[in-house]
Amino acid sequence: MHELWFTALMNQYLAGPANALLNAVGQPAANPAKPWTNYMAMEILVLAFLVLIPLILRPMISVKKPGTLQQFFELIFEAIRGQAHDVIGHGSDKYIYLFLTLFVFILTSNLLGMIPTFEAPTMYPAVPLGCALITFFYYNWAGITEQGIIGHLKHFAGPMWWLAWFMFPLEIISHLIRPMSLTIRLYANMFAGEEVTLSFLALVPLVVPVLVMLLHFFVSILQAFIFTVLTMVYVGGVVAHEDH
Amino acid sequence: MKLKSILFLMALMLVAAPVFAQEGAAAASGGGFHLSTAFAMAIASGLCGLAQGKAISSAVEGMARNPSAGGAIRITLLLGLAFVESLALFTLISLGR
Repeated sequence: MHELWFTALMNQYLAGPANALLNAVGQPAANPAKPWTNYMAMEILVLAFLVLIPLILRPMISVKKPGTLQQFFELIFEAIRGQAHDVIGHGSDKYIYLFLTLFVFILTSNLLGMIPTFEAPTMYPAVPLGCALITFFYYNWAGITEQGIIGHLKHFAGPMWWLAWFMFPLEIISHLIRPMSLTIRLYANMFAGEEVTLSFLALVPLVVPVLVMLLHFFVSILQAFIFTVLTMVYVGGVVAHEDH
Repeated sequence: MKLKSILFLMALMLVAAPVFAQEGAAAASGGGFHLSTAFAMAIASGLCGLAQGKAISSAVEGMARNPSAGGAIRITLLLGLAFVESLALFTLISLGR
């Protein structure tokens, strides 16, 4: 895989700490001269971006005259909070912080691929897998906190007790498939977008790949939203109190 | 106005960003073409197209009958389209390499 200039920079100056960390956890790098992979370097960039922007925004917040950046984040906040309320109901406010984090992280990661000489870290299966595992453990934790362990497991039995012998394994499999489908959906969309752009580039070098990139831009935003909405649906499914 | 259209044309002529990520030939490697893989991807994309067309047609009809529910229908439509798309992408990832 081609090494980006940012990754080369990281490998030049920060190879030592990276190798030390990888060896400490027992996962030595495939190429010790270049321990930083493209997606790790891009994730560091996303992290730096997501830490810097709120730091810049915080002193600029004003109630009477909100600036563009503040309104942008307020838009995202209201959209996610409204959607969470639609999906989960009245208890949604304690879960929106995860939804917002996921949405902003995945959105920034996807859009980083649009900038020349950078690429989206979500293009590699490891990064969406991380987000999907977070979602998986979070919604199970939310279910156990809300309903207790027995109550959470009772959800797997389905609506009718005499179907439980059949529903239980089916629900277990369906729940275990969720991280896989979340991962593959995000990874495949980002990867396929890049591949399709490259294919069109091989055919027509001017103009047409940019149109494909416009489609990829729309898909990037949509996939971030889809990931977040699915997380909301999973959390909503396990914290729901059926009032008999 | 003229400057804007010139700038717009120049922006369109920008080489697409992914080219910087790929040295050498952008064409796919020729060795390793399997007929079954091509058929698998074609069937998956075709059925995905049919399913998405059905989803879009119901969504548009619903919006026409009830324009005030347009926002909710739009979000549900996009959610459904992404689900169907992901099924075709499963085929791409598992077989179409």
